[in-house]
Amino acid sequence: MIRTTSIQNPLSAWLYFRRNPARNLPVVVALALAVVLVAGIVTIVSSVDQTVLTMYGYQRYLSIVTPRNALRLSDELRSEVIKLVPNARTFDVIPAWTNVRTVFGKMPFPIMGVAHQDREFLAEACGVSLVTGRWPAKGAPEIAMSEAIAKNRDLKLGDIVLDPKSEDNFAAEPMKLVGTLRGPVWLAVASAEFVRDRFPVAIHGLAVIGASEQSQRSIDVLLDKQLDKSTARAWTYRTLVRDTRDALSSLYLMMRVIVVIIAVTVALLAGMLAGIHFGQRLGEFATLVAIGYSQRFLLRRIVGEIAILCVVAWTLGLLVTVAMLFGLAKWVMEPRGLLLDPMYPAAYLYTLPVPFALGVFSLVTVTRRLHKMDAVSVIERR
Amino acid sequence: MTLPSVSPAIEFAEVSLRYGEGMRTSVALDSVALSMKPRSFVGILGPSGSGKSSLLYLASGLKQPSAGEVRVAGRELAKLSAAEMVALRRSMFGIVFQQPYLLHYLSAAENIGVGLPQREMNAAEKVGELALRLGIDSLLHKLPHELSGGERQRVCIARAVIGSPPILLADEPTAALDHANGHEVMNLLVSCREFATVMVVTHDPEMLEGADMVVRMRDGRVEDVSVSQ
Repeated sequence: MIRTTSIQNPLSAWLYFRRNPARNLPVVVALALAVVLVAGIVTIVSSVDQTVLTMYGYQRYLSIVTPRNALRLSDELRSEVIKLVPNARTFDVIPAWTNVRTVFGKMPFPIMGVAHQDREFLAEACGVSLVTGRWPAKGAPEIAMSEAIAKNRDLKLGDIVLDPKSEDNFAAEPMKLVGTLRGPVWLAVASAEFVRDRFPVAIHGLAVIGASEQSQRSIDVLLDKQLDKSTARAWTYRTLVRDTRDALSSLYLMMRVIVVIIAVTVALLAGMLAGIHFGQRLGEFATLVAIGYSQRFLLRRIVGEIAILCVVAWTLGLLVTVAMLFGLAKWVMEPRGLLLDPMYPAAYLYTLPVPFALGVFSLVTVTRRLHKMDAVSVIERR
Repeated sequence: MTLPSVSPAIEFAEVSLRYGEGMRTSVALDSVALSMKPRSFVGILGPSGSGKSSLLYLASGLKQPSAGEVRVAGRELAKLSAAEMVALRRSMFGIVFQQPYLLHYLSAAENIGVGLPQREMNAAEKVGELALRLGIDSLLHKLPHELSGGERQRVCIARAVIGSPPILLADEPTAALDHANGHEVMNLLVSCREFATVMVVTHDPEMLEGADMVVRMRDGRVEDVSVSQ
């Protein structure tokens, strides 16, 4: 039985791709690996940004005003803040600090010393609720924290979170984990009375919580603009995002340079391979020209072959990347309480220059050689 | 496309072909004048370097003459645009080369299909019928590396004639074959005279038995033309 479709269109680019795996596979593998490399680098680098914004994500729901050159806000400053945001709820926050692990090292995370009457409001405003254990008792060395932080610190209920002997997680006396929280953001709370008494040099801040996330945005802008920066600082989600982006700008620049280097390297290699492959196919092209196929047809066919190769390799690269990153997130990052988003869209967008550069380099190489080709000389030499 | 039976299928009018310039000029063809009738079998005979292959490439438009005119079915090739030339080559010529080149990743049937001037729904039937007529139907599924030299050349002839071109050009089609295979290929080309003007270049006079016209070439000139009655 003769296969009808392939006889109708024996010069189809897809047929060439399918029938020449030995020729196409090295380029497909090189391109797919480049896609994996680029998407992997971008995802891991972006996890820094994502980690910061998730870790300190509670700032979406509250702003904190802290004094400059003092441990406590003056009464005038406190009144000024309350006057600025008359519809917001304000309460004192005194932080103790623990260190959490991230892909780029340890980062400090505040355990907020909050008064009994304010902590559930704070948790509710952040969309967080108690899932196991209980809230810290008034004046007791106890902590309730998000499950993610507990996992990150490898803690379970009853374990010591802050310890007098610890360099990273210090407290004047051991503080135990008594409750875990669950919600969209990370949060850790302790008794305000305990922190006030046992952390004498902790800076006392004023938390400001708006009625909604929307009104919180307005409060952030207001505090950022109106407060005298020589006497107070407003810690808002807006400044968190800005500071994070500023801090990571050099890292992102390096990442972009690396992506360009990978794209150009793969494109150059693929262009050279395309040139070699064209040399091996000179007889084919010369014969086709001699029997009446136009250069335009041959170019169209080459464009088709390169396009198929790029699409197949890019898709393969994406599939491998997604599988690899899901595996990394599930088996390596999550158990350690580290953040990684395997479906971060920008990571995949960054891979687009790779097949594009490869396609352009290959096409330019082959087109130049095709235009220079003298079919008769090739046929006579054969 | 078919040729009008009255006008010559191919005509060379004082055609010269030179390579290089000035002192380094070499003459491949010098004032060749020839006329080939439609549906005739024309043999071009001559030793190496006599210009016989150049004559074939000029006829197909793959080379342009330095002087003179080459006309195919009354149309002067030099006056055609590149696109018209490509269209003419696709519709009017079937070409067979000395080395039977086939696309290595295509089966014999698919290689024959490459010769069709345009995509056809009944391409498979056409290929099947032609292969049966040429006695190569058992080879259709095979890849080029599974074929002998003679078989490959027969597939090349099938590729050249699948579009029923009115002109079939063959450049030393038997040179790479043994005697028996050479004769079989030649008989196949002779049989193509039924529908096409066949111009065969060879250095072996034995291969031109039954030719309607034999042109002997030497040093780029026509030495002798014999026409069978």
